Amino acid sequence: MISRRVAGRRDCWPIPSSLRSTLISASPRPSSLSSASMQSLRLLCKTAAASGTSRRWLQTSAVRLAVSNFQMPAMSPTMTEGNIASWKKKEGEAFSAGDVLLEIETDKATIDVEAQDEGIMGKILAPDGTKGIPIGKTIALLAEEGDDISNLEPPKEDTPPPPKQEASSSTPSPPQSVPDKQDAQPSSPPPVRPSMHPESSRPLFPSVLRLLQENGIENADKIKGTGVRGMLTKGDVLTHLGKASGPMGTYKETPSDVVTKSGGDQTKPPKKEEPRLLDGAAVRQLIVRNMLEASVKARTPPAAPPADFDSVIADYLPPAKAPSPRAEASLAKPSKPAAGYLEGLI
Amino acid sequence: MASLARLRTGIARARTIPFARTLQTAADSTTLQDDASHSEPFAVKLHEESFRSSKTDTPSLDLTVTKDSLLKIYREMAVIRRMEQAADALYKQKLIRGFCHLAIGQEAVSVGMANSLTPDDNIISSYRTHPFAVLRGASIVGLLGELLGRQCGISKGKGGSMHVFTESFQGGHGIVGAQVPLGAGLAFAAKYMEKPVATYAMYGDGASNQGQVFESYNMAKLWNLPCVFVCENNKYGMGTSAERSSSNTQYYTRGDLIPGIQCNGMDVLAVMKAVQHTKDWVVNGNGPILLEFVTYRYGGHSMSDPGTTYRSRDEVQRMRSTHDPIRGLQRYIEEWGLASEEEMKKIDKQAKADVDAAVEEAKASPLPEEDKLWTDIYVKGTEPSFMRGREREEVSVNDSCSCCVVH
Repeated sequence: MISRRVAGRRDCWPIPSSLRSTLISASPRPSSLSSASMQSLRLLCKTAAASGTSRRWLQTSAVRLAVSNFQMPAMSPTMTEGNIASWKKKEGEAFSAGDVLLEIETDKATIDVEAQDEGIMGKILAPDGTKGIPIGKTIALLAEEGDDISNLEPPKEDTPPPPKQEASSSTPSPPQSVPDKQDAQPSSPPPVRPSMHPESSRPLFPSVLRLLQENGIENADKIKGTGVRGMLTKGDVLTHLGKASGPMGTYKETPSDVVTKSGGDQTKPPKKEEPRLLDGAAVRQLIVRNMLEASVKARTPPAAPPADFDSVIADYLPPAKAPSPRAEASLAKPSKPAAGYLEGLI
Repeated sequence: MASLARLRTGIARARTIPFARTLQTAADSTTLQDDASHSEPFAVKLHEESFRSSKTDTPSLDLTVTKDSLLKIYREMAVIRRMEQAADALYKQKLIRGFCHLAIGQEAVSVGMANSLTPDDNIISSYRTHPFAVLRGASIVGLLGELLGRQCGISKGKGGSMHVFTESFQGGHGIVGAQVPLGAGLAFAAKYMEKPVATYAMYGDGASNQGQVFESYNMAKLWNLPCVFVCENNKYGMGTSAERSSSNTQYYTRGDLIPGIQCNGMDVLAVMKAVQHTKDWVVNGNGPILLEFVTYRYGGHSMSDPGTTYRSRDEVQRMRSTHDPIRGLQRYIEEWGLASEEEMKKIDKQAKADVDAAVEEAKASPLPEEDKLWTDIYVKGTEPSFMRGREREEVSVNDSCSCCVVH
């Protein structure tokens, strides 16, 4: 239950406990207190309080009139507003902890809202079927048992709903720090950013989208796409910006020494200097080259001598016989079965 | 509806027929033995079905309490329920974000445990631990501030609901079941240092099927560690009832050679007795013991769970109206003539006022400063020379080295 105490609502008379109990016992259920009977009760209280003998009636432990605002709850972390499907408790009806107060429709589901505490439904401010109520807006006033609920008034919305507060307090900080970072960059693109979304009739890769955003390109259709089915690639964007010679070319602007060094390694034989620092591209090239070599080797096995019965049986014979007559047969052994075994797998 | 409820209890009874006698979980079944009109200690007798045991004797049913201690316990339970309800409200205002697991309905376990142990004893638990933090030294402002992510929080607003620690509470832990081996380690340390303290490693019925729980059982029994493995069985894991997830739902019998005790976790007096008994057990060198509290949570598993998709609302309301631990204790206090209904109401109102004030104070505290993001990661004096992580400023692809922020 969302409850926020309304300050300054103590202008009503406390109701003597004896009176309250008689009234409650007289009526079938405390919830069926009509506003008329409450009015008469108030009158009684006032007259009693006015007469001097009534002092002992009034409780010394002041009964505080605890009227609380019931605000639109966020029933899921993503919910921002909701519709009221129906109220399950009428005005003046009592509820205990765990009872369903109302049903709320969110973007995803219809959810029952339970009471956390016992009390009385004071006043419903947003009737059944109200749509699009933002979170934090007061939708009802809840009272405690014994409160005068006949003249409850909706409170003034003096405080804005909390999510807004938080948003306003958290947003100012990132923009302050982001521009500092941007200034330090060598190429100073226009500062319009993350909010800007490049227009394109085609779907864009996330990496391309980011590149476009960072360089402030608003209309992506002007750039010619060279990817699959004409899709825009990062190379296309870099070419458009003049940072690369062509869509398939390398990125020219390389002021950092790490890239140039590894670029050199890439053209020179990288095999010999394996322990050296390689960048990602060089490592990938190395891996692909070795895989290709292995693959080519496997697909073109060295011509094996024709298999005769002796060479086949040689594997199954005890090793004692091997040294003397069949030196060349055992030589041919390792290559041929290996190639046959791996054939089709590589 | 009444007939439906009767039918439901009938079914429940039929299902538990294999166990001749079931544990009773009423919150108000303890009887008075002495005159309790003054503040001297008096004896009470717990219901004879409050405990069941496996491979050991059940604790005795006699317990000595005082009026002051019962009123203190009542006050603590009232404050903790109010605090959890305040957290629920703040979450629904979107002021608390992320994880938030509430223990509304399980107050008897935390309050009963905290009132039977000394600050030297170790308690380590999972993520449903707001009550423990407050009972073991944190302030309500500190806890709510932590949930709100404010500087006044007990982890300076950087930990959140799952990471609350105090000097005498070894933490809420976010990984399901991972605190149980840590608890065994704490027990090992206590044994190694020859300290006469007990370690309570707590987990839920959901985590009880984790492998690491059984590994911890094994090591604890092998080395006779002074560890009490506490299963807080609230009958439902995250969206699944215990019967659907565990082949054996008698969690106190699952320790192989380790003896176990099952306890009514809705009666705070039964909890206190069980904790006193198990503490004596482990401190006297009898090795580890299992302790299962049968309890119930009224809310969902977390704030994302409405809690009514895998159990009926009638069931929850029935538990609320008949088994509530706070109402049970209130009935003891009133029936034994320790305090009047008005005095109890006064305590309730004071609890509400205290929590409301704490909420306002926590909300007034500022958010953590951005440059404090990289502090409080390591124990002072053990920081490495640099830390790795991500920062929101690194949006550029050009400076490729910004992902390793060196400080």
